[in-house]
Amino acid sequence: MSKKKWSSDSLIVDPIIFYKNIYHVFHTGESMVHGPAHLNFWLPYFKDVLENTLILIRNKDLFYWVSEKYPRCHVAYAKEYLDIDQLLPNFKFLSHMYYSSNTGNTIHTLKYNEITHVFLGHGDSDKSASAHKYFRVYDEIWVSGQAHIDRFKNAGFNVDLMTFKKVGRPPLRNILKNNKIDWRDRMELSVLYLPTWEGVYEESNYSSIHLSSELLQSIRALTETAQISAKFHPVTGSRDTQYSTLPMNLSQQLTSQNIKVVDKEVSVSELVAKSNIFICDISAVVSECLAADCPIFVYLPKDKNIVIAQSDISYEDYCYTFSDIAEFKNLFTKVILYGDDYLSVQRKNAIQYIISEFETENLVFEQLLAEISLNSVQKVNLLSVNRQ
Amino acid sequence: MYNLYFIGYEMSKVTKLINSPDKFFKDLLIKRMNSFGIEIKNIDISAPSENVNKINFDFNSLENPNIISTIIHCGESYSSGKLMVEFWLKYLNKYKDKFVFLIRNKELFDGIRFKYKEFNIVYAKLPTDVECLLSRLDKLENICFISNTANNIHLLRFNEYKHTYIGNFDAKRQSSFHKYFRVYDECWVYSQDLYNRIIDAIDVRHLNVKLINPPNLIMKNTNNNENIVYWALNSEDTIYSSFSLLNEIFDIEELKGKFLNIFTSFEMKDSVSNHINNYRIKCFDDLFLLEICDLIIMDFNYVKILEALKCGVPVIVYLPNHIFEFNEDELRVLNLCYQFSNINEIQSIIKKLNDGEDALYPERLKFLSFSYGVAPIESHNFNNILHQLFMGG
Repeated sequence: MSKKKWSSDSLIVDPIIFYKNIYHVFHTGESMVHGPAHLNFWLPYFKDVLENTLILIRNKDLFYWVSEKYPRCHVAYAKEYLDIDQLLPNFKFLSHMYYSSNTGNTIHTLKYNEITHVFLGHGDSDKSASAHKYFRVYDEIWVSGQAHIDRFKNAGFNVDLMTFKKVGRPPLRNILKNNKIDWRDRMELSVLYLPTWEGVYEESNYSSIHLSSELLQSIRALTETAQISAKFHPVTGSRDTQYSTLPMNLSQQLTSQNIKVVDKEVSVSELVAKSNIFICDISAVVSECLAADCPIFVYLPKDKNIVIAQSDISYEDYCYTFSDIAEFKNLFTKVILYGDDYLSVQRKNAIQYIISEFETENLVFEQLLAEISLNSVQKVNLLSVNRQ
Repeated sequence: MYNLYFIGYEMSKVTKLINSPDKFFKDLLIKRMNSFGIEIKNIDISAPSENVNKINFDFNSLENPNIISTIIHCGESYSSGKLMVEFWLKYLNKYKDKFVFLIRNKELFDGIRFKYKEFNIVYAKLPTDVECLLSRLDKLENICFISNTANNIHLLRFNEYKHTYIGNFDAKRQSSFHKYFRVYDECWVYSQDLYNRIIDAIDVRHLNVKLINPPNLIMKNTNNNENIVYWALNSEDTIYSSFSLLNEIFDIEELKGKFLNIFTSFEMKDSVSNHINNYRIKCFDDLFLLEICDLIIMDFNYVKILEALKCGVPVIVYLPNHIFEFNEDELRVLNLCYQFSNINEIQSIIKKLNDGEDALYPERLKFLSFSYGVAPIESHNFNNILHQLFMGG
């Protein structure tokens, strides 16, 4: 094995991992645009099985990033399908492979029939990307809650033979812990605006960024004392370049009104914990905000035919939805300034339906990983007994 | 840029002349050159190179998008994709208004667009370009994939269409069956053997696996044996050569009045032609000869015999009375062929075949059907399946 070349332009791996029993592979086909967020989302929850886990990266910059940020992880970079074919057969006890997103290069690993392929995603939402036919390729879809399963059931194709497992949303565990106190009593009014980006496809462009300046200023006009922060999606303007400088321009424009534009690298969870009013677009951050159990205002564009993957409850059931600034101002006045949080009960139901509070708090995700490791250890032991 | 392009492909020739005279004259020039058989690639008609590099899509050949029901997607590069696309186009002329061939590689697109200008062949590089194409096709129902490539994902995410893996006929690239096939609604396989393999390899779940007879493999069942081919192999490719018997074979009474031809490799063509100089029998290296023949006479070579059998006709193999040990596979194939060691034997075999006695037909059909999907014309389902795909029902 050591005679093989394990470092080339398209394959980088420390040969020491071939002496480890690797049972889990976390695959990301993303580049530096989305990759760091996906890895940050999941890697902390692999900590109990880290010794038996390989992080498989398909982009060289991301490989260097994760190697530096997570030095305890076994990380490999394999660019082409030939590199994958050179690397994976070395792991005789590899059991499960996890995917954080649907990228084209997943085709190179999905052809391994003996591995159980699991889609983890990176937070679910009603975006059309959350439930479509491509997901049928996986052996299992691990979802946060029943909402995501229902999104598939409502997506218009047969999902009877797909396997779903509810694992909750581990990154929301801390936020869920803090939501036991009523949002009004937790802190002074603290508004957080979290617009999504313009999307890979125009079909899935749900963003309110074109309204962002007016929206933020309208909040300030309604309340002089509230803290107001905005955090733009890290890849805002990557498809539609007219928005690439928007966060910086707004930051300069709104500082005088005491409105803060937060650096895109700051984690959403950290900001959610410091806020008690949220304004979002259709995106996974809605469920993140939902965990905090505070009023959420969601922008639903009316001027275009938006394709979404609908669960059995809609945003209107647990969020205050608006399509323009006037509508937003009316809702904000009623819910926040007059204190009529009329969706509070439905919001609590939605927390269990979408996030699975029980599974999240009871470490179901970590337990599943541990079970897989245990089964794999038994296979290793069985083989060594047979050899003897 | 997007809008200009879309307007460009929809507008009539007159509006094109008024709004985009440069584009009008460029297209006119291309059509003229095509009609004169001039190779476009030798003439610089392209836009300046900095613009060419920016072209991410080309939907200009798209005519009547409102009646197109099917996209056939090729995500391959030029080297691997050209044969696959050309193979399919050969069988799709009847339905050319009902589908659009979507090519994802510019070099491949440029390589076939002018050669097959009667077809709707378009190019789209990025996912957003694919999205633009779909938005133009109101009647789209099916998306077909000729191979598994990473960019298939750009279309597979659309729930409203039926996704079918129709494959390709490149034997060298015969795909192994793996879990990725589950992304499709339907998968076409071209033999019972392949059908069994996919069912054994993966839990197919929702995947509808359909057994299709390859369009180029039809079992012939004719008694007249009009077209006889002698397949002349290089002496290095066979154990025993019947080449020295060739003159006697052509003198057989039962072959009088038939069309006799010799199929051989390009390298051997001259020497074979010299050898049969007196017989006025023509020698070809064109595979088309095998497609139209009714009977093949040849020497033993496992691989070549398999190719001959796939033509769906009786095969007569020369095996002199020497002791030679064949392996299991070789024996299986030999048992599907008639064998002769002298002129009397081949004469007797051909006489029986002329009389309609093709005793090996059932076994041959069974083997070819299982391994290669060969079927008699009356039960061959390829055309029916295509009709269902494009015309519904």
